Amino acid sequence: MYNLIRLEILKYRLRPWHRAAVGCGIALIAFQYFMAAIPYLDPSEGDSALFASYDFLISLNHILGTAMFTILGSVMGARLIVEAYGDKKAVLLFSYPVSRKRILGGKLLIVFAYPTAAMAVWGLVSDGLFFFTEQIFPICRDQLTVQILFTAFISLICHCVIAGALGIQATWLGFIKKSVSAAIVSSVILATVICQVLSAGISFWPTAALTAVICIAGAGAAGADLGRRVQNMEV
Amino acid sequence: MCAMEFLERNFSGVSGKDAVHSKAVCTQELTKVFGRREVISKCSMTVEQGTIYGFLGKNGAGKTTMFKLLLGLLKPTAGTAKVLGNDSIRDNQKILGLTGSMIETPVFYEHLPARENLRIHLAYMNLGRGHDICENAVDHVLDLTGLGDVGNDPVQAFSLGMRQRLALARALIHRPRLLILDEPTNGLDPAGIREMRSLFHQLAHQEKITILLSSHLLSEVVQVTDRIGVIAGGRIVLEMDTADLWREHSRDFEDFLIEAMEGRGERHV
Repeated sequence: MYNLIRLEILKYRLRPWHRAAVGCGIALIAFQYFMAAIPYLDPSEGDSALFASYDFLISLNHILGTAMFTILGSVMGARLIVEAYGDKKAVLLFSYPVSRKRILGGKLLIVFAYPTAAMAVWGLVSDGLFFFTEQIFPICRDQLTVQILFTAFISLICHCVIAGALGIQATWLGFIKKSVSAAIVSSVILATVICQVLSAGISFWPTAALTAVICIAGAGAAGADLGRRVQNMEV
Repeated sequence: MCAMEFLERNFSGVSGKDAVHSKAVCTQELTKVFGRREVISKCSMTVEQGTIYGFLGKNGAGKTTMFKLLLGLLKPTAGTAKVLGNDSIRDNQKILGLTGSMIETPVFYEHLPARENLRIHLAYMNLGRGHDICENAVDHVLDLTGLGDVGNDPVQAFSLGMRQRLALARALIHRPRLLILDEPTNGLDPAGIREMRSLFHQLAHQEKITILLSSHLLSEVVQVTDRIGVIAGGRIVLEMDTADLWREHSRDFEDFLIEAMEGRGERHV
């Protein structure tokens, strides 16, 4: 599997994705500080007390990150999977003496792992930078505790996994429709729905954990169906 | 190492298990139906090891479909196909490791150089076959197919003829026992066609590689092949040694073949 993943990376160089991930990361950092500054920008805002809470700010940032990296994952899936198994191109993939499911498995691992890892990295950078600057120039009126750090870390892990899993599911929808745009639009819809669910239980990490489990199950089912379709594909 | 030495070193004739099967390709009543349309109808054909078999037919006759059935890219509705003694469905991965192919318009990773495309292809072939062919093979097949000077250029800059050559290089790089080539001289200039003809003769008659190719160029088919098969309306209507065909129809060779491709005339199977 390592060799198959290495070959995928050779074929589809990751530099554009790195640039996209950096863009998302910078947006996350900017959003973090912007939300923290709302009580100062608009003191008359009725919910400004919420924006002064670390739990709320971090959870909100993670939800935004989930949406961004879900879309990134779906674009990656559209490129690596939907396009690659388009009629003519699939002839090349199917001419290799390697199991079709193994080749697809390598691709799915990349589509899941890259946005998950990218969000984890940029989430840590964003949260870490924010907490660090809060110690020097505090914006929020909240007190940073170990409990908050622990909750933020667990929440980040859950949201990263959700982003990766939704990317797989959006790719599956795009594959069925044989359309790159269907994959991307599906990711936007899925991200919107799941982020609504996550925002209903914002600051409560078990909501994110339960959602992550359900999304992983959905991604597993999508991956299994993709494998079955690819195995039986005729070109 | 020059191209000739590459051929001698890497294509050392029939050996091992492959030597047991004198028939490189054997189909029995092979049928393929798409929806209600029978595209291949009870085709039985045989290709002997170490020969060049020319597959003729007009557009839409079923040549490419036949090739795809042999490679397992399509599953037959009925009948069987054996390639180098392996069933086309059950032993598909083994067949793909022993076969080099060029089907329809070749697809490449356009943004990558030719050399990189071949390296990636070789890596997949080595993965599937469990043993490694040296990466020097990349340079040698590029030289063999006349692409030695453009190996570092991205494929998106290649002309049609260069893409055909690259596709042939890709089909050869992993030392296949059988080449399945769908119109391999498409887009080549006359010098290129002559080079390919010479290469095919060498691969088949000296290195004992079996070549199954399709073509629209009747003159080329006569010069290159040892045996000709004609498919019309999904059925094999003619299968004869090229020499016998030329001896019996030297005056009306073209008319005879065109009639066969149109499905007119007697069946010679």
